Amino acid sequence: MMSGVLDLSGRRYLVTGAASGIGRAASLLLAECGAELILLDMNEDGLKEVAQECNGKVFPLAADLTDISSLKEKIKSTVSESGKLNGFVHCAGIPYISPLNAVNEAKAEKLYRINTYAAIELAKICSSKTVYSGDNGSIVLISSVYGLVGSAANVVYAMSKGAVIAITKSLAVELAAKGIRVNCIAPGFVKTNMMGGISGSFDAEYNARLEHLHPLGLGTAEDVANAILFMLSDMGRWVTGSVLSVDGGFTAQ
Amino acid sequence: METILVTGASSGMGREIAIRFSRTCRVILCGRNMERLQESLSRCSDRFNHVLWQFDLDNIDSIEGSLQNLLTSNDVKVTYFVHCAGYINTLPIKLVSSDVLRKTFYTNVFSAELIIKTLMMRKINRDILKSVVLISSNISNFGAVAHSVYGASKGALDSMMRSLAVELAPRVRVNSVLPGAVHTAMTEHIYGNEDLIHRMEATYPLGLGTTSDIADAVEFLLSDKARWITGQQLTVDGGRTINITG
Repeated sequence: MMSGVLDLSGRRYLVTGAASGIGRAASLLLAECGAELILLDMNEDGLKEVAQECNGKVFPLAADLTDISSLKEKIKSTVSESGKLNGFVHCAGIPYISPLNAVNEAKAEKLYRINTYAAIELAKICSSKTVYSGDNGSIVLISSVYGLVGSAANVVYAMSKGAVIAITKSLAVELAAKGIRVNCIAPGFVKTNMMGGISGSFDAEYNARLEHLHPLGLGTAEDVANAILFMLSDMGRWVTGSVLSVDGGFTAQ
Repeated sequence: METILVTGASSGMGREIAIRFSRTCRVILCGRNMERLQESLSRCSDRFNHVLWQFDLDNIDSIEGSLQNLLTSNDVKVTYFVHCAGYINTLPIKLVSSDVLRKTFYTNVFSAELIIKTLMMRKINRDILKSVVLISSNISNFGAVAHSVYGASKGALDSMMRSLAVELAPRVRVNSVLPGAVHTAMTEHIYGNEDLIHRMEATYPLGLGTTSDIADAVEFLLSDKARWITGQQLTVDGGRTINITG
């Protein structure tokens, strides 16, 4: 029944965390809708697989988001090959389940660099004259429902995702003048490898409770990818600074 | 063939949404004024037998009966519901009356709840209803002078939306769209004032919006692409409410 414009032909985006989970699902969907993509991840084998699965022109870029000093040059050199970008989707993220008394500064700092600070650095690079195509700009940052509500043993992750929401709003105001929209998706508990790794450590009772917390049940990476597509596409042309929870109703109750 | 019920279909966002969905669904267009409803219908695709429901949602006690009759007599089942009908009367507190409160809440909030109730009745609509979008406002989460009544009604609407989303899951999804200023009959009084419009425009990072921008968000939320989204407010306001520099 959709008649709105979800066509991304002629558009080019960078996707972080593209080798797995939400990043992979987003890459497949955006490529399917006609976008050209720079696929960024640390996992080179995973990147190769996703690049092969994508139905369209893609440029794999193996890079470490904690290595900010080399990130700019790597993206610039890929862009000189691919052409300039309309924006990016920041899906890369690592979890950190730890009770407060065991929180470790070095681990927290690494998580913050990937989940949070990379979004700012990527926005800086991707809105620069050498990288931004100058039109139809759109950035989507992946936060989490844990950036909106509380949960135990999750303080570092929650901090990193709450900050992503704050980044979204301030960048939306700052980058509007360049015609770049900035929006945020806050997913609930999605069945991905990252989440599988976490829930594998839970007992069956906790997993049942987790499912129950979502009135529509647990979601898939594709559900989140669809919302990313909406925000990037012309259907979201008047949407900026918005946070959309894609969480099966988790935050509604 | 699926059917969509659109209130406020005689103008503005409701008309835009009715016209857009008329290509893919049968549309029930609800509005007060038959002439304006006919005008909306004349702009709809004639692919399906659309239905006109001339009704003033202020008649709160007759909504359920009227809608039941309409669905039964036309033998129609409704899959999607979009509540666009809205009443606004911006008044400073000293001019607020029980009449204004009543009219605002009847049209903006109560009618939506009673329509959803009716669409959940098995004997009327079986279990056909799938997705609901309520048109709220970006005022729902913020404050503005002379907006206490309208703002309260939109806050109530979103609160209703969240509880219904939880209650009606997993079969029916319920979400709301929070538009910023869009030029419609309801906002005509604002758009007539050039100074005010220029001042307003400056506070919107992406400028002022169109009814089509709102229809896009409605379409996304109603569709299966949003199958894991329920109980959410989606703000579509060109950045107005996240902008404190304007």
